[in-house]
Amino acid sequence: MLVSAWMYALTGVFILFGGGLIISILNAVSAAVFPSLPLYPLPENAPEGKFWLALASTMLALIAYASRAAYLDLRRNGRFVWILLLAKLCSSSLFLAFFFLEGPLVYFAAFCTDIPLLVFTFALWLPVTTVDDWIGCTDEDIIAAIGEATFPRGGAFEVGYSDVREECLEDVRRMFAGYSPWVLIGIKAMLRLFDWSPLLLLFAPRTLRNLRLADRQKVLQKLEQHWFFGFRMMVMAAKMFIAMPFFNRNAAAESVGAFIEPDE
Amino acid sequence: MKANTYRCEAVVIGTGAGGAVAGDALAASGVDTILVEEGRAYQPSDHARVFDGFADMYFAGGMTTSIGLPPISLPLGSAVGGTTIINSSTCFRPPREKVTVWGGPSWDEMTPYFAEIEQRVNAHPAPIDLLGGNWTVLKRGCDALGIELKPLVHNIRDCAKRGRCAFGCPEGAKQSTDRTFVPNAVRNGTRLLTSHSADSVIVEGGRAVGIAGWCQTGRFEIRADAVVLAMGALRTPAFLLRQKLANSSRRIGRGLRLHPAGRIVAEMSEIVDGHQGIPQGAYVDHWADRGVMLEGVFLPPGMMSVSLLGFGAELKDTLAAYRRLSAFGAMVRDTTTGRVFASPWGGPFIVYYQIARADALSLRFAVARAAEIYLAAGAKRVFTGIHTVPIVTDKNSLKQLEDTPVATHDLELMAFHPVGTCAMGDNSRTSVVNFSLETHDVPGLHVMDASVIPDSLGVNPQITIMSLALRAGRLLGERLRRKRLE
Repeated sequence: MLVSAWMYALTGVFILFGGGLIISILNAVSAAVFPSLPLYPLPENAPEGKFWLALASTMLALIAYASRAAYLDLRRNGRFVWILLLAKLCSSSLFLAFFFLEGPLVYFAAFCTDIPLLVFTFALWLPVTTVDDWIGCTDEDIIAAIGEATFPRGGAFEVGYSDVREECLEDVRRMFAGYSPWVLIGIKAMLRLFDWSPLLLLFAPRTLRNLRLADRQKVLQKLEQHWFFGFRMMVMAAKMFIAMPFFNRNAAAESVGAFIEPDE
Repeated sequence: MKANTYRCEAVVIGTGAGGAVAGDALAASGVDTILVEEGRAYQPSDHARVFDGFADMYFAGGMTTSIGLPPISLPLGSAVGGTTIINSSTCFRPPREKVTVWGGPSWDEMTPYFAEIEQRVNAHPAPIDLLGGNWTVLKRGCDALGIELKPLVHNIRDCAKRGRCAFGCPEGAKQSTDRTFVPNAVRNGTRLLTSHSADSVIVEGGRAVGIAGWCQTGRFEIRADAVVLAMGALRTPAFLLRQKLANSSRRIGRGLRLHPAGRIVAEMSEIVDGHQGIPQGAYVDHWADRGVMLEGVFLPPGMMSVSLLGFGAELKDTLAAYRRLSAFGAMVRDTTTGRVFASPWGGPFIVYYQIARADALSLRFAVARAAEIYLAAGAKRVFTGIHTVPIVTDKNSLKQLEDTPVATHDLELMAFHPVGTCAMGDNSRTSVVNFSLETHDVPGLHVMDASVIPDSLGVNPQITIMSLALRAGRLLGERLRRKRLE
């Protein structure tokens, strides 16, 4: 990350004062090797270039800062890496799109520079990510929404998921802490799919979180009995994330006559 | 960065059924041994709650799953004691015909090892009073059908009937290797390194001379005359594949057998209290000729919820009857072969296992037999875990279960007994290790875990793994001792 910070900072300075040189060199290469490709207009030929130059330098300053912050305290500032990844994803996608749309080699060269940086940064960062990098408030709200639908208050036994929501979510985080980043990515995707399942199954433009309890239960039941095994697997996984922490509460365990365990 | 360096005669990676026994056998032979374990050492009091055991001691948080239809859950242990700390404590000797087919040590040669292991882990048929209400229900059903229900052999001592074998015994009654072989090896001078994750075998001059890896303080390196891998049938092959070691036969990772299992839950009219007693207390081998074994199983309510259908009031009604639930497992000796790959994305392994049609039909047959036993015992309804007919309530729905076509992805499966991924044999072109469990290709590199068992046993494999490791550990110990004397 420290290397990235220096690299982006120096690139920003260089682009600000010598960006024209890079473009000139790439234009020369393009003209020699790919004469059919159009050349990129030099900044002095494009008066509005200074405006974009300022924006590019700002972006580089921002990601240099984000890199340095992540380097200084990855645990606390891990989310800064998202800024870096998002910037590289945007820039590489746009460079590739402009290359195909307009043709100058400069765009392709920029794409070839940014894509490895994106992949390299992601590959270095992924193994050190934790549950906090992947599971956020929205994900917890989705889990809680499924939990409340699974174990609503009242009925055969009084205690419901909403009574013990915070303790259960804490246990879910503890479960997730043992999972690899790839599994966490899968869980995040699964939770979002749950959230959009009303749209997929009922064509209702609502998220699962925003459905009434009874409707939420109907959607979950549809998923549980769906012909596509992937939905059924999702429901099984969700039930485990809900039920294991729920019955880790003595009030719930006692309600069904299971062992009461010590030191909750 | 300078690595912490250790020197010993034998280093063993893993402290489960294979590694702990091998380490103990080596230590007993006077060999200077180091046991390396990626997980932590736990005391029974550390897993007083089910959730603690599940969250702390399951490898990858219990989310190990095969790729294929259906995806199969593969629970593995990650602690001193390996999977023995979370298994059901069931002990079987391997079927005699299997041992004969392997072509290695004969049944007669292995018998003293089986006996010694059984004595060391206190394996004995569970007394009826420990089997709980699950036994009573199943016995009634089996008697009505003229089928014999037998108590399983368990490695337990002073069981307090907490029903918690699969989440770490809070009483320390289960004689898992963290309670038996590991402490014994340590008493005999073995060094135990916990939270040490090995990532490579050091090979010099074509010979294994140590291992290296990471621990909390940085890199470590252990130099040894012999290296024993005992990380289990899923991790050991991936470990070797990642380093392209010992694979001239191209058999590493292939030939995976999982012994897949379905879970059947029945709601009875009377109080069963299945959680008060050994969860896996009894078995039915009536259909063993078809490769089918029914074994008891019982789960805490959190896990049980996964096997039950419905949400909200429906699920709460069923769970409110928790004390009236009974459960049985249906396992099939598989003909399917899967494969283990080293993960290219930094994970420990990838398991591919696409269950064969014949095995899927056998599983349906096994589930139907378990449901039949429950109906004969008076069950109100039986949850089958099969999507096409998820609940059986009477003979008509049982017939429907047996007649309805079943696709592989209609089954809800788990598997607890992976074997076969570094199979032993005397031919270096068709096997990975010889019958001393040393790799054909790399002298000094041994594999002593479930991966050497060439074929599905059809029964729980811990006694087989331990016995093979005991034999191989002693052979290696003797060799190292002779080498030292020379």
